[in-house]
Parts: sequence; structure tokens; C-alpha cells
Amino acid sequence: MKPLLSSALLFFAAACAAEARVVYHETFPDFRDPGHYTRIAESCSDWKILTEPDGTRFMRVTVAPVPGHPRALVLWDLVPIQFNSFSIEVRIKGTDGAPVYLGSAAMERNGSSFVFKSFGETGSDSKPLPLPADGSWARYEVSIPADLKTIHMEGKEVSPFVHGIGDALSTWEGMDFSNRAFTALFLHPEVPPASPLIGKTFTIDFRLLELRDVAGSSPSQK
Amino acid sequence: MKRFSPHWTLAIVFGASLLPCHAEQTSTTGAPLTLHASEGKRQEMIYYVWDAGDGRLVPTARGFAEVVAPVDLTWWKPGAIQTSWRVVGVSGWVGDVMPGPKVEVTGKPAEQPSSLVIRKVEASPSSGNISISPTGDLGWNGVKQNAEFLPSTLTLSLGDEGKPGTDPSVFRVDWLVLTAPHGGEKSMFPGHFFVESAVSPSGPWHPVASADFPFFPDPKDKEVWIPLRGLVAGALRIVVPRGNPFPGGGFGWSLGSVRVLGGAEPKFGLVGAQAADVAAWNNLWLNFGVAGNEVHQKFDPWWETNRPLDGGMVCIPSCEWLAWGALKLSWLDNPTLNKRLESYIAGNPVGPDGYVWAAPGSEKHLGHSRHNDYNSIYPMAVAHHYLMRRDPAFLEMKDPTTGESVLSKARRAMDYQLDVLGGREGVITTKDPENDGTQTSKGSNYWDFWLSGYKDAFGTAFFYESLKIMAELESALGNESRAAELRALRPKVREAFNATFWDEKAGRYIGWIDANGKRQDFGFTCVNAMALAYGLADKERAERVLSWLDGERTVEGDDSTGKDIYGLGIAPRVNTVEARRGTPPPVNTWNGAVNIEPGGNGEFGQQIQNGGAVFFTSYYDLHARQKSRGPEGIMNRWRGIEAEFSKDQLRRDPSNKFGFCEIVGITREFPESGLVPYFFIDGLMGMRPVTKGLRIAPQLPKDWPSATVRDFYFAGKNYTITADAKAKDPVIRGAEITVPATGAWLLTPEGKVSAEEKEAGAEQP
Repeated sequence: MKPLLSSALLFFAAACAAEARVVYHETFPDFRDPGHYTRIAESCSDWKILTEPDGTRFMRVTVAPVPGHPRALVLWDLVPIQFNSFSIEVRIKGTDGAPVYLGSAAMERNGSSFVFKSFGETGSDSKPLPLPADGSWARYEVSIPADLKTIHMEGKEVSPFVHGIGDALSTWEGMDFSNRAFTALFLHPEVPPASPLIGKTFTIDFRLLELRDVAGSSPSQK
Repeated sequence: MKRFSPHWTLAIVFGASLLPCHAEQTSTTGAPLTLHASEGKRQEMIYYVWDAGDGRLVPTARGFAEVVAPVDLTWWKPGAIQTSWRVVGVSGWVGDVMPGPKVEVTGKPAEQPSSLVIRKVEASPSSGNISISPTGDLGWNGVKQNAEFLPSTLTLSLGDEGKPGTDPSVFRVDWLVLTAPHGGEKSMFPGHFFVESAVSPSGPWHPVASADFPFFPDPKDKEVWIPLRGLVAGALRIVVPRGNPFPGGGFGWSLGSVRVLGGAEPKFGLVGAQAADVAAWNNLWLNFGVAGNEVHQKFDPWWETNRPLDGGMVCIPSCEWLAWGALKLSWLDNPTLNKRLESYIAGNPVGPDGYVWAAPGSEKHLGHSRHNDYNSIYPMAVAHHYLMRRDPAFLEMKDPTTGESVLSKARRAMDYQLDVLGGREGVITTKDPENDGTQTSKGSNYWDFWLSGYKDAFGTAFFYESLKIMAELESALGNESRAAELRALRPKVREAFNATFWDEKAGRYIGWIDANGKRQDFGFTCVNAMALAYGLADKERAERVLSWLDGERTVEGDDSTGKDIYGLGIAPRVNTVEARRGTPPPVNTWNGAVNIEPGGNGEFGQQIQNGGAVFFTSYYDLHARQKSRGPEGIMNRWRGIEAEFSKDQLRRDPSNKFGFCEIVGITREFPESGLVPYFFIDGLMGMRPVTKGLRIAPQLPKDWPSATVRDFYFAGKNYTITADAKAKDPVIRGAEITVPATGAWLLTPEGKVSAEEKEAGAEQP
């Protein structure tokens, strides 16, 4: 949810990251077929693994938004694993400056889905920012529960910002986040419905997905 | 069939066996003892590291923490052992050391598995020549890199140097044994590593799914024994995706010693074959037959595992899979697997009317539709399992609900086919409106996307086969009149099958004729392969079918033609005519969840049962080709299967453009994938249980003049059975039997071998 260098929170996040245990680090190594653990859907039309001149490998996804389907989906299937923050670096090309947004969600092993703040969203009243259109890499980082927007669980939508409106909505105050394993991570590049990119294609690159578990958050650590 | 299926039947019929950890247990030297552990609290995947109490650490595969996880431990020296275990979460937390059972190991000292020669050790990034002593000690400084997440590998080439110009050899591998560097350099043993295998050190490399260990605890002075369970390989590779931090900077790892234990002959041996062929037959069986090195998320090979760790599984305890399960398991000297199969057979209900249910508590498949082919499947499972093991107690096992015996249920199931489903007239015919094959029906067999029913070719093919094996069973039990009755029906069924389902213009068999008389032909490849495999087609019709499948002949109106029919490599597409061509399409869209129109999630090629492929079809396909064209007829198709297997060991479940993994059926809830390597037994070796024993009628291609199956359990005894083109007569040396590669031979339950006697009027098996 944080554009690189956009917030004073970044310093805090970096400080936290220093104490975090990296539990998954994606480099798209040649010994694993990404087709075994990633999927594309919705307005994605293609993906491939490419290599930067410095040897860094990344996934290039081609997005072809059409009317009614402005959103793409890149999905990581995960070995059920616990983490409470993640980051990924993202780069868009071929958009001619038209805004592209990035949202995310994670599927919990018990079927709940956690929807996170989008790139650039910093608080309850802030709005997502478009990804940089200058071809540079941007870092998208999420912490749980700080960057949670909504949890869909057991047929209910749970939000921190809505209190006491009937039984269907509640807050996750007091919810224990320490023993939750995730089975999939969803990344959603999206253009506005009236975007000039509708009917065209652009690419979005992903690299260095990293899942972390902040030290001390998990019980029984040795 | 899959993908419209919640975890239905499994939940109904399963009861996880929560075995307690006994405080004290006994074991015999050289024999495995199964111990259990459970962390019980965490949501994420975990694995266990067992301390065998004799200097060995044995890790398990990954699985869910809340499930009781078994581990098989073997000791080779007698004595009192104190075991212990600890749990490791995949996110890096490590539990306390927990006491395991005390084990009293009795018996004489037994020999440990022998060490294979490691002829060459190479590291990447390269660190020059790496020496290895005869005892496995490495002369190696290890890997040191500047970044933490730079992968590095240690490659082990197995066996003595091969002769120049010949294929590399492959070996049966049972254990990979690693130690930390000598001198107590604590941080140098890799903290995350996994094992890969290959036919040769040049690859392609395939991960051993069960041998992936993130955050492996420091073994200190213990040996780490990684089970590989009979994997067949020419090379192993230890991959470390993440180096350990060094106090002075940099990241890396090292090992003190490496040993590879194994070297016994592989389960399936083939003289004259390429190493890749031997590896493929054996590892197909390892992955999809017994699912030995798979990740089982419930620590149980009878359960499926979700992406990204999905792989092979043993069987599904629903009637749909029982006959295939019997083929896969009955020949194994594995009491655990076979007792479980027997309990599912005994517990599968057969209703008062004789209709066989899907599973206990579930009359219908997914609670949705009756599959009348269960009435063929059930007696096939019973007959095959009994004839292979010859244990009368199995036939007398009681249904836990009704008290009825297995044999009685099998007979009533057969009666239902004959008297209710129209078997005596030669074609399985279901008149129930839910199964009448029309647009308002629900489907009647494995292919649950298609509304097959009324006069059903798939069901009739199964019926034809069930007559054959049940006749063998009845005869073995001395019920000759019933056997004769069943045998006498087979020619009538064959004639009726051809008269009913053959389409002369298309040159293939159709799928079904609905109650309105509408003939449904969408180019169903499995139905046609089964018809040929079971001997329902004459030679002329078989050739017409094969020429269509091979793309040499185009059927008017087909959407998939030529090479596209086998475009998915593993098997022909399920159908060659798009489902949407039907007027209306005779398919079950599950209340619109499946859209078969172009652009829809079930469009042709995007859905397993509509232009996708299911691997097990290749079992019938190979049989079809062998039966029609002889031993050489299988080779092109085998080459195609082996080529696909060599890419990724068929650990694949690709996503369609909608994000659903519904294009091919190989892993997860497709245990029938293990039928393909079973072709080695009932195809190449031609081994099938019959009334008087085990019929062995080898069909070896000329490039494979000798084939061997090891640890073949028949009638209470383990055999090694070889078919050899050089042999003139059968030879028996203890439990080793060699028969000539031509002709038909009979191994009796008493262990005698003779040429098969052809009885007057007997049908050619």
C-alpha cells in the first residue's frame, strides 16, 4: 500500500522489516516452474519470466482490460504458511501515463479472505495512488493487520471502520492474528472503467515477492 | 470425475485414524516401525524431524499440523532406543524436542542399505574439484555468496562411470544421508534445502516433493536420513535456495558428508530400454501408483493435496475408484494399504435392490446422480482383489451396517446388472429419468459433465469386463454353472455393443443413446480406447478407431483433428467435438457454473471434460494399441508419455485463462493416473489373475527383450517375475520366476508354473 519513498511510515516499516523473518522469497528461479504456483486470470492475457541485465528474474504479465473487466488477477498459490507482512516490487510499461492501480488480498486456509489497502493507501480516508508510470520499480508493502481493509469470513464482511451495524458487520478488534495461515495471495492490477487502456494492452512486471513473519508474533518460536 | 466436486465423498467415508503414541514399542531389526507425532495447534504446514535414537535424524514430508503424522523408522541393531521428535513450521518456527516412544529392537543385527557409488560431485556456483571419500566424506569448503537468496546446488552423479556412448544408468535410491561439516561449524548445514532427481546430471531435474525442508534445524553431530523410497535416478541434486548468514558476512552452506543408499534393482526392470524408460516406468509408479514421495497434506495418501503441492495419491474410497484401486494395490505386499482397501470394499453399501452406492451414506455421486457403472465396478474390485490375493476371509468380510458378506454383495451387484440394467440383453440400459441420457437427466458414470445414460457405452464396456472377471471368480469358487452363464453372455454383449454403439460413418463408437433414441457422439476417446482394450472391437473397427485417434483420418464435424487430438501430450483429448455442438449440448453445466460457449470457463480446451485430457485414458489407450497392433503398437504412444513425463514428472495442473486448474487431470483427485504405470504389469508382462492362478502372457516390444517385476504379491507370496525372450521354458528359483516372452503361462497359487492350457471353447483372455 505504500509507494516507495512516499511516506514517513516507510522508515518504520523498514525498521520492522529488520526484525522480521523472511518466510518466502520469490526469485523465479529456473529450478521451479512458476506455472506450478502462479496463475493469471480476469483481464490477464499472458505471462512469462524474463531476466534483467543484472540477472534479476521477474514475471511479466500482459494485461488486456476490456469493458466490464478492467481488473486483472495474478495469483500465488502458497504452501499454507503464516506471515504478517509482505512486499513486492511492481513496474508497469505501455500505459502512456494512464493510471493503473494495484490492490491485493490473501486467502486464509479456513476460507476467509483478507482484503488489503491498495498501493498508496495509507489510512482509512486516503485513496489509492496509481503505480508510477515512468517505468520504474515501485514497492508495494502490506502489514497485517495494519493494512487490512476488510475480512470476508463465514459469510460476513468484517471491517475496522464500521461498528455495530447489524450482525453482518463487526470489527476485528481483539481478533487474534497470530495463528493464521494463508494459501493464496491475489494481486489485482486495475484500471478505471473509463481508462484509455480499455481495449489496449500493457504489461506489469512483478519481482521479489517476500513474505515475512515479524519476530515474536508467532507463538512457540525457537 | 473432478472439479465440480467439493470434498464430498472423502468426508463421508473417512475417519482419520488417530493412532496414539505408545510409550513403549517393540520392533525387529531390519523391519520398519511406524511411529506418530502431532503438533496439533498450528494452521500452517509443518514437518517433523524424528531422532531415531541411534544417531539418525529422519524428516517427514510437509503436512498439516493438526493431523497425526506417521513416520516409518527402521533399526538395524538390537537394543533399547529412546526416540524423540520436533516440529518445524514452514514459516520458520521450531518446536521443543518432544519425547517419542521407547523402542525395544530385537533380533540379530541386520545389514543397512548399501551405499551407491557417487562417481562425481559438482557444486554450483563452482568451487573447483570436490573430493569424496569411499565413506562419503566431502573435501569441500562449501558455498559462500554475497546475497542470501542466491540458489546453489550440489550435484551427485550416481554409479560407476558408464561406458562411452551408452546411456547413463539409473539406480534405485532409498536414502540420502547428509551430515554437517566436521568440526561443529553449526551454521554451515543448509537451513533450507530440497532434493531433486534426474536421469542424468545434465537434467532435466525434478523435485522430490516430500524432500523439501525449510528452516531445517541444525543437526549438529547427527546424520540426516532423507527417505527417497525407491526413487529411480541417475543423479541427485541438493538445492539450497537460501544461504545461512555467516558471522563475518556473506551467506552459504556446506556439508561434511554425503551418502546415497540404495542400489537394489528397481521394481520394474527392462533390458534394452533407455535409462529414461526405466526411470519413467518406476517413477510414474512411485508418484502416481503408491504416491510414495508426494506431499500428503493430511499425512495420508488417500487424501488429495492442494496446489502448489498437489501430486499423486493412492486411491479414493468411493466406489468410482474401487476397481482401479484394486488394480493398483492388490499386487502389493502392503497389508496397511490392502486392509484399508478391503475395509472400503466391505463398507461400500449395496442397496436392497442391488444398486451399488457411491459410498457409505451417499447413494449418489456427489449426492447428485446415480452412477450405474458402480454395479460393474464393485464386482470387478472384489473379483480382482480376491483372485490376486486368494484370501477367503476377504470374501467373507461383513458390511458393518448390514452384515452382508463382500461376496454376496458382489453377486447381487452383478444380478442387478443382469436383471435390472438390461445386461442379459447385452447393453446396459438405465430407464430412471435421472439417468436416461436426455437433457433433463444427470449423467450416469465417471464422466459427470456429460449426460450419458439410457444405453451407455462406457457402462456397457465396464459390464463386459465385469462379466469376465466375475466368471473367473465364480469358477475359482467352484460355481461353474454361474461362471458359464456369465461367460456365455460375453459374445452377446460384444455383438450388442457393436450393433448399438458403432457409428459406421464416423468410424468410432458413440457415447450413448438417450431414451428418445438420440445418438450422442462427441468423439469420446476414452470410451473408444476402453472398447478396444476390452476386446469389444474387431480388427477392422479397431484400426478405424486408432486411425482417427492418431489423426490420420479426420471425422467430419470434429473440432480437434490431426495432431491436436494428442495436443496435450499425456492422453488424447477427452472429446474431439466441442460440447456446444450439441443441439442442445448434452452436458451438465452445474446450474450454469460451467459455460461451454467460446470465451466461457468451460469452452473447448479449457475444461477437462470438454477438450481437456485425463491421464488415465492412456492406460486404456496403451491396451487398445497392444491388443490391436501387438507389442510394437504401444511404442509411439509410450514415447509420447515418456517425453511428457521427462519434462516435469507430470507434476502439472495448469491453469486455464480463468484461473482454474481444469485443463488436465493428473494430480490431486486422479489416483487413476497410477493405472498408466500399471500397464507394465497387465500390459507388458500380461499378468492378470484368472481362475487357476496368475496368467502371464508377455507382450514385449522387440527393443525390450526382457522385463521384470519385483515384489509381486500373488496368493500370499512375493515373487520376482521375469519375461525373457531368450528363455525357452519357465524356470523357478525360489521366488524368482522366469517365463519365455512369448506364449501364455500360468503361475498357480501353489507357486507352480506351466504353459497355459487352453480349454475347449474357452474365450481368449
